[in-house]
Amino acid sequence: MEYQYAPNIVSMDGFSDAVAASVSLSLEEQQQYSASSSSSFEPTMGYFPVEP
Amino acid sequence: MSTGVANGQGAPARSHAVPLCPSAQPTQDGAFAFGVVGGAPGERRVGYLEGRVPVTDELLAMTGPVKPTHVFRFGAPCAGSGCSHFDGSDCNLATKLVQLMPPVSKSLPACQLRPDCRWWKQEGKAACMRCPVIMTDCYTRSEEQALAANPNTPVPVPVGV
Repeated sequence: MEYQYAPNIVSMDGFSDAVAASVSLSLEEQQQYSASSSSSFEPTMGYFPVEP
Repeated sequence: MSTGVANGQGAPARSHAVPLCPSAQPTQDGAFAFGVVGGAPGERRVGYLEGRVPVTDELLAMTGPVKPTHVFRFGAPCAGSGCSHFDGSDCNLATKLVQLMPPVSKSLPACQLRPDCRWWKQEGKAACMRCPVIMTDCYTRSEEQALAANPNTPVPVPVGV
């Protein structure tokens, strides 16, 4: 069993900075993903509504 | 406007009669943010907020062109039979996450959602030890995560059963 990570806490004082950093990372990943993949569908990892 | 974002204070955890889904959509009734996805490209990890931040237009606008579920983890009352992962008694997504993915943390995250979390109530700390790598939406998903996320993937039979 391998543990790699100590969960961290985001203080409310640092909330805006954490969001800004996350947005920046997402944009970076989005660019990398767009350049390297033709796949367009990834199922959401969470609530997945039942089709009517 | 949001009390959570406007005054910089997250709301304290409250007890919910209905278990909370820890990977909800911001459009669900009662949704709030409880985590922000941080880390590094390709190694994203959830940072847990000190409080619950209600979903508001202001909160969603903070992610700009990025889908909010790439940036936040949202909690909301479990949709039960309205969700493809619910089998009538259990969340199969939680079961598959625990059975398919390795733990990434030996300590429990300081999570504001845990007291009401369906995954915690169902799978215990095994779910919490995998939770930091769960992103509702992301561009780089492992094979195990993709399998778990697909409602059509059968729930694995535990070893020894």
